[in-house]
Amino acid sequence: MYEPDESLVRTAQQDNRVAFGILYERYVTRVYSYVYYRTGNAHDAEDLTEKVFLQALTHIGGYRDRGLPFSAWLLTIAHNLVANWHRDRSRHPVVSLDNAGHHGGTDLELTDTEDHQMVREIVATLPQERQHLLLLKFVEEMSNADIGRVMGRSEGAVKALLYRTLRSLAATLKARENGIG
Amino acid sequence: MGSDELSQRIKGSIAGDSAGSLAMEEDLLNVANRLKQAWPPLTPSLAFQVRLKERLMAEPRPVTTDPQITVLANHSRELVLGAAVLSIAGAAVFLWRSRMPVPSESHSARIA
Repeated sequence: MYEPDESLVRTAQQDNRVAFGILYERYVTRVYSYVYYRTGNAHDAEDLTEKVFLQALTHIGGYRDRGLPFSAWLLTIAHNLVANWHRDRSRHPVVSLDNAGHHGGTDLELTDTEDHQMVREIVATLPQERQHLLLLKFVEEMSNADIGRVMGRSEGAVKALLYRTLRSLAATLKARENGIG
Repeated sequence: MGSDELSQRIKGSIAGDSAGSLAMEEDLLNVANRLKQAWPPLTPSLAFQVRLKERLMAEPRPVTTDPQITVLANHSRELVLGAAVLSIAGAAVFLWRSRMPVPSESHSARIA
């Protein structure tokens, strides 16, 4: 029988690891996907995914719904860890040996095309906040209202930012396809 | 969610101020679709999933991070420490005074 997140979270908050384990299984793929597309390689994605769930385990006692679903809370933790990761990398640049984007599963290898790679490359040059926004919208398929709660913005502000971001992306993609820049 | 429904949601989400720019909206929708295709859901390796789950199950019980409890605990420690310091100081003063010579009666009389 499917148990809703709210019920599992309440149980997990009593340090019930079985309940936490169900939540983990429910969201590990989503968190991993999000982190992979923000970091670009499987090794760091695994490392950060692990940190996300360890932090969630430590702090689940302090989690309160307040309209923010548990999955959105996990992604907020992920976003903060990824932001720290990027900041640390900028201070101590590391040459990645894993530029091909290999990871444990074969989903990406089977369906990836040059266009997909180009799109991801261009998105990776955007500010962190905009990458976060696009992933929440198009990978996590969250509503603007939920995105607003995660990012601490109004729904209208999210919609406006999304519009500007997509417009900018469209222009960049067109320029790249026309061989400019 | 089906692709048609998502397209409708995306259109609703990204409609800008200039309603007349259908070409622009189509462009944005095109970008949105390309983003979705460029980001298929990824599955981490089974070995990783199993290892992480085992770690989470075995992790020691998290220490409470309730800020109110932390503040109270800190204050209690301060109170105990303060009492201990005062007790030691008081005991030291008592011992010091008990070792001081008692003035003689003639000395007391001269002072009086």
